[in-house]
Amino acid sequence: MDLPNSNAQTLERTLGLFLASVELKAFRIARAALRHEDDALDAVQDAMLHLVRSYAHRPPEQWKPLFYRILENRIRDMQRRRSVRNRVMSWLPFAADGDDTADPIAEAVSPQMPPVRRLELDESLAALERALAALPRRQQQVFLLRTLEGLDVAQTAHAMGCSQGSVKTHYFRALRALRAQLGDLE
Amino acid sequence: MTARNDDLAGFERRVRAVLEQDAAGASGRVRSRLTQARHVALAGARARREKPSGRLLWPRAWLPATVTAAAALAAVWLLRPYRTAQPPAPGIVTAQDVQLLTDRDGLALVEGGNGEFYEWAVAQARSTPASAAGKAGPGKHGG
Repeated sequence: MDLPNSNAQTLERTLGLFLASVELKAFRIARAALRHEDDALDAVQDAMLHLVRSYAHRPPEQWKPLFYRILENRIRDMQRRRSVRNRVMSWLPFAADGDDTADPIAEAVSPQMPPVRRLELDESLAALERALAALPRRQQQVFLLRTLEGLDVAQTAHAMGCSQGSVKTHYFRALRALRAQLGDLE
Repeated sequence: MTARNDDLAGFERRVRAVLEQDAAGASGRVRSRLTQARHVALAGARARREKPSGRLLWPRAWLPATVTAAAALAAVWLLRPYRTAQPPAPGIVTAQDVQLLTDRDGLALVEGGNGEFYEWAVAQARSTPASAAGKAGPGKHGG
């Protein structure tokens, strides 16, 4: 029996399960920051590749903060690049947004949710997205990492590359701002 | 104060529920792209694991070794003339020494006591370089 190969297969399976467990939430976080679905998907894919290539040998309990650290860096890079691109494109008279028309079939949501509930959720989500978009970026990311991904303060600090005190401050301010804007979110 | 904290905690729970339901109800396209991305990442790791020797063939992997070898060769080449120009260590007999010792004519020239003739020849060459070759020397000549 080839033990190293068996270990490698186990590692790959564990990595696959981990990535499957974080991918949707990571996409949601990236989309909130980038406000563009394809960019968010690219950022998540890059983070997956980077984690598997560079940090697969680390203990699995370290993967989540590392993955979100990579994702955070990737999001920041994309935002900077987009900012530069927008400045350049604003000088061009023929600049256009391109073909961003979504395919209605591909965009169809999962059929598991009843349409009425989906509609209510969409309304709540739209309000939440507007409120999240109005937050400073660090507050937004800390809030999503803590609330959606469930990272604790230490893990969030590692993922964001800041102190734990800073995480607590960002989180509390984000929560208070959202509460003030959204009232009773249903 | 506590009531306000409870209010915030309740709000936090509601926000989390909305976000989690949204994540769970992602579109087929998004799910498909994420699954594809996951498989690509894992396949890359598998490929690296199954072909470890392939990395050695990658030109960039050889670059540091090539540069080091080239630098070593250049250093050897540059130092070579200096090493050959150095005098041999005492006690070591070289081929040149053997040739000098076995050459009878050469040894006779050194031991023959022609110092006077050579001093005269040098003096002649310094005084009249053009005519020095045509004049005979004093007394003892040759061996």
